[in-house]
Amino acid sequence: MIKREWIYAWALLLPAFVFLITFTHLPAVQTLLNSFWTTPKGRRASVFTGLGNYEQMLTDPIFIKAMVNSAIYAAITIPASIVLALVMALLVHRSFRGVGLMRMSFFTPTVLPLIAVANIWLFFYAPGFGLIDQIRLFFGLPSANYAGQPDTALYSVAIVAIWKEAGFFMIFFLAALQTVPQTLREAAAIEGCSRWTFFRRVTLPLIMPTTLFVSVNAVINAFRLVDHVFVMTKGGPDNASMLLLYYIYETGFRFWDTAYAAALTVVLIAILGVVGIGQFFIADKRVHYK
Amino acid sequence: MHKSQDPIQITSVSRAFGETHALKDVSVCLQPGAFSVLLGPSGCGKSTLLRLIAGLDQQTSGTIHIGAKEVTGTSPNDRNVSMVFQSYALFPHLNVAENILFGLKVRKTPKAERTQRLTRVAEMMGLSALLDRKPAQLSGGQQQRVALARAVISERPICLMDEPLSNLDAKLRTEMRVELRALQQQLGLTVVYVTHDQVEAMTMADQIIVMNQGRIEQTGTPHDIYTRPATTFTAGFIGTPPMALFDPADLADGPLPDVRQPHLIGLRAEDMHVAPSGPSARITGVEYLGADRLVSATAGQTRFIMRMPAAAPVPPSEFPLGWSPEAVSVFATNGQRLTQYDFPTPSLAQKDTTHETA
Ligand SMILES: Nc1ncnc2c1ncn2[C@@H]1O[C@H](COP(=O)(O)OP(=O)(O)OP(=O)(O)O)[C@@H](O)[C@H]1O
Ligand SMILES: [Mg+2]
Repeated sequence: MIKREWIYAWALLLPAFVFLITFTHLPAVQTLLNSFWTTPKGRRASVFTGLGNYEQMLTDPIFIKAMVNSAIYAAITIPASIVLALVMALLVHRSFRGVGLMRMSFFTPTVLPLIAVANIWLFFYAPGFGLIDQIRLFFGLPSANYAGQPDTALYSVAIVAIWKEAGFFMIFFLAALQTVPQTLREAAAIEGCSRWTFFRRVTLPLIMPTTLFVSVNAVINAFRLVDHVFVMTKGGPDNASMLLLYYIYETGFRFWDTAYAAALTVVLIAILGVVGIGQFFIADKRVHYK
Repeated sequence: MHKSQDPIQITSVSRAFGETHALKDVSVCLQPGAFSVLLGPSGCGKSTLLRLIAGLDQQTSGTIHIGAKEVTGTSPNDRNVSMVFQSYALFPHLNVAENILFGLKVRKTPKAERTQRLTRVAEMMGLSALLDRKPAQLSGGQQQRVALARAVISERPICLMDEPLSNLDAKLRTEMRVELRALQQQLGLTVVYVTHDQVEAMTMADQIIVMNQGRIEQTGTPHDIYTRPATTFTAGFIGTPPMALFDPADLADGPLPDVRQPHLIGLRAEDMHVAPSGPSARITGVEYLGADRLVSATAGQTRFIMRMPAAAPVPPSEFPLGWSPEAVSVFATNGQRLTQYDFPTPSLAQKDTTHETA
């Protein structure tokens, strides 16, 4: 009879397996395999090059630029969005008039599609009549084109990502803060513990699991969220805001160099895997779980 | 270091939460070095009063003095009190030692002194072997001890406790009652202890403050409160079974004081007995408790419970009720005790020595 149950079990799992394998596992394996071959062009068939595509990266200035940009972008957006989210959560983690409105306004950017967010910010950045420029002109400063200048383009897309993400992370921090019992605060107050000390010695350690979760998400998003780059800069000017994922898109779907794009994808996944797993292992020792 | 000469003087304190009046014009003096228990039913304002003393909450009106100092508006830390919470409020991410030392670290006590005090307190509380454990790895009783150790190590003269034993099982609670009382005596602490368990209050207190609906009903030694309840509320709240309250008509031709106003007669279960003659009572049930028997009966319109030794024969279904005249309490119909009818008993004036521990 056990055999019959197994057949049922496999039959029930089959549809899920079929879809997972067809749309996730096969393409992943295919991508890995493709990265060792050249892109077929016209009558020239694809040939095996081994690590040829990977060697090409080392001499590809745009790839190097994209890697550096991605590193800067991650180094800015990850800590900034986490800290901002925590500060916002602390601000609205109490009761005062209008706290509901404040929570909602912090959370709104999360609900908006990133494309829409990017359009809003394009208006802020627009030279001449944009919000920022109007303020600059009001104070007698010269007009500036933040999204359109090579030295500021990367930072202007980073700010949009922070604005978009902080609200989302805030929700997690807010939920975590609400699990810190009020009596702990009172017990600490009796001992003469200042609010800052309490935050540092008690609140922060207690919300550490959430911080870890949020930071893993922030890392993934730093490499994954590039929608606004399409709208705002298209990686330019002069590759100033070129990010790794955007470069993969350009290589694969604008220049149709699919093999090279596959190799780039493998690099991206490797980075995410190493960073993500590393985070869990390093942080796990310092996180207190209930 | 612990010993305190400062009484806690509470004068006309009220606390309202919007429409709810949690405390109404409460005045009481808590003696230094004494174990004072705030006792009352759920929702009567005990925790509210304790939190006002601690400075975790502010009164709507009235004043609180600790010693000569008016503490209204000062921070909890400035009041120099320690507190044990019902939920213990241990920091879950810190181990036992760090939990106990939390306050000293915050107040920047030198390291050498911290270590020395920790060793002593851990020894005293039987926690020496558990210092590296996290609170989640401790039993309820051990967590309770850690919470207590955190209060003791502060060496503050006043310790406030809000139902610290309510999360423990019955056996552990009995043990901890004895330990707590011994600790208080040994250190000369001023303890203010909140409970709704009258056994805890009776066994530990020097002074019981009976509260009801935001007011103080009575303040006195356990003995006073038990034998001479000041109000019918206290009479009905203290004692298992509570004091029986008779319409005097139901006790006619018994030994009663001559009261010239409408009133009620209160009698404790153990002060009644089967007499050769007296007002007649009818048995409705008998409960056997091992050493005692609780006899439920009615006399006229009044239902009451009488305690008799299990060795004594069960009374017949209809019996004459007797009582000791010196045990009679007389209450006016508004619930207040009429003290002028109290039987003068010299033994009651003696010092209550039930709790003296060597
Ligand atoms: N923060 C608050 N907001 C509104 N009402 C409150 C607040 N704290 C207490 N109360 C009210 O004040 C009254 C007294 O509460 P308190 O906590 O002092 O009771 P208690 O005697 O400690 O009861 P228990 O034995 O159940 O702990 C209750 O009616 C309660 O609902
Ligand atoms: Mg309470």
